[in-house]
Amino acid sequence: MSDATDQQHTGHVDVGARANSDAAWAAFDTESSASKNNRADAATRARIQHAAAACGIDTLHWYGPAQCIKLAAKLQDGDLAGCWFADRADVVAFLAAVPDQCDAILQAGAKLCVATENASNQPRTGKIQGDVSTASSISSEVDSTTKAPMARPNIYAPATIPLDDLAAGLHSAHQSKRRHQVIAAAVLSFFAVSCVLVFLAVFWETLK
Amino acid sequence: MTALALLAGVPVLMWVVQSVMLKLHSMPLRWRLSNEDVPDAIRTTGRITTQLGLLSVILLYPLAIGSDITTHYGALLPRDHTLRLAALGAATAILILTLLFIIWLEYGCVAVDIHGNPRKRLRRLLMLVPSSLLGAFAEEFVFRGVIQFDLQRSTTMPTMAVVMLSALLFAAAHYVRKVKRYWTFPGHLALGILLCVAYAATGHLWLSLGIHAGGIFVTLGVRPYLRYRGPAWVTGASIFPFAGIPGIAGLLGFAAIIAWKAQTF
Repeated sequence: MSDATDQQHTGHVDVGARANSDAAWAAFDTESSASKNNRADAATRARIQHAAAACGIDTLHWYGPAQCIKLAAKLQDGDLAGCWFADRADVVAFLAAVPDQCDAILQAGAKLCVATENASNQPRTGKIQGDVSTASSISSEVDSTTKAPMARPNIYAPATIPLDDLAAGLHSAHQSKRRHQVIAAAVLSFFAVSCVLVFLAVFWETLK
Repeated sequence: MTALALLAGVPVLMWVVQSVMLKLHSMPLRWRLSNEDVPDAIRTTGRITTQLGLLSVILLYPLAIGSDITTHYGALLPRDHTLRLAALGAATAILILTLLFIIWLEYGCVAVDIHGNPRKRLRRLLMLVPSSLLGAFAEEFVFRGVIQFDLQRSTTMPTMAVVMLSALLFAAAHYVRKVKRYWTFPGHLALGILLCVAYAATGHLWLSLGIHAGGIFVTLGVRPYLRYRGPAWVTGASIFPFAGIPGIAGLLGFAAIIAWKAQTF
């Protein structure tokens, strides 16, 4: 992630959309049901949309809590470049719902972005657990001629910030458990395959 | 080499049709065969062209070598006790994949996640057996009944070399069109080796047909109900559960048993 101050001067915002412009972006809304048109919190949705639009992302695919596994799979496979969240609590909620996929999502380079409320927030930098970006919400400044809200892309500087302790702890505890599970799955897979093949070898003449 | 010439014509035909369709939709031409960002009409036409191309290879090859369709494929599918091998192949493939999915489910490497709309799921379920049989028959006819048959007939290569070359062509054919992931190639190669060994060892298509159809049956059957959580080296990915290391080991182990029991190599 480039220096946030430079981004403000040049008006450039990059949360990964440029790096992977072919892939679509998602948004996570805790109010969403499986139906894409059933969202209770329109203000949250608008905030996320504005923050994403300021980063050059016009179309978002909405996912709700019931679709965490699907969303994680798409982030992991690179079908989605990243996902926007209303706040960090939502990021944690999402990661907690798909603990097995946290590593793969981050390794796939998926961006988890938070559309924060506070426009005066200065971007914070620092390499940390996870890869969560934040972009400040749209400016309330109004264009004097059109009276329409005037977007100021240069204030939507994203920065890498730490996940909170909960997410970090969850992630780390999960990593260890996950490693054991994967080893067990691999060993049992080999065992099952071997059993079938040995059975086949012993009874080949009878079976054929 | 007649078969290779016929097979090489398929991607050429696919590219020509793709180019015509892109032109009709005022889209730029592509060097690669790719369905990326194209309208459904181009996608569907591409699929139909591939199937027609493969069907042409199946139908034209016997005529090209001076035989006829019934005699050629009739000899490859004898109506005798060897038919049992199709059931054995299918049962083994289904058993291995089912055990793997149960283990992966238990350890969180795959998760139950029913996706897609219910009507589509029902259609897929009803079409599961026909799709598995159709897919297996088409690929076995082309890659074993035409390509491997022709390599064995027209070259002096040892059986193992014919098996390896046929398996390589089988695997490569799955990547002619631009695909999402290429690391699954070793899985396809191992599958190709198993199916080619099955044909070389028995001299007919029943065993390879059974294995192939059984594999497609399980893979397609679980697809709308499970999501792969990985890691990929264990589970493979998406519709390629045999592309993980246990899958590859299973395929090669199965091939080794067939080769050992048949004593063809």
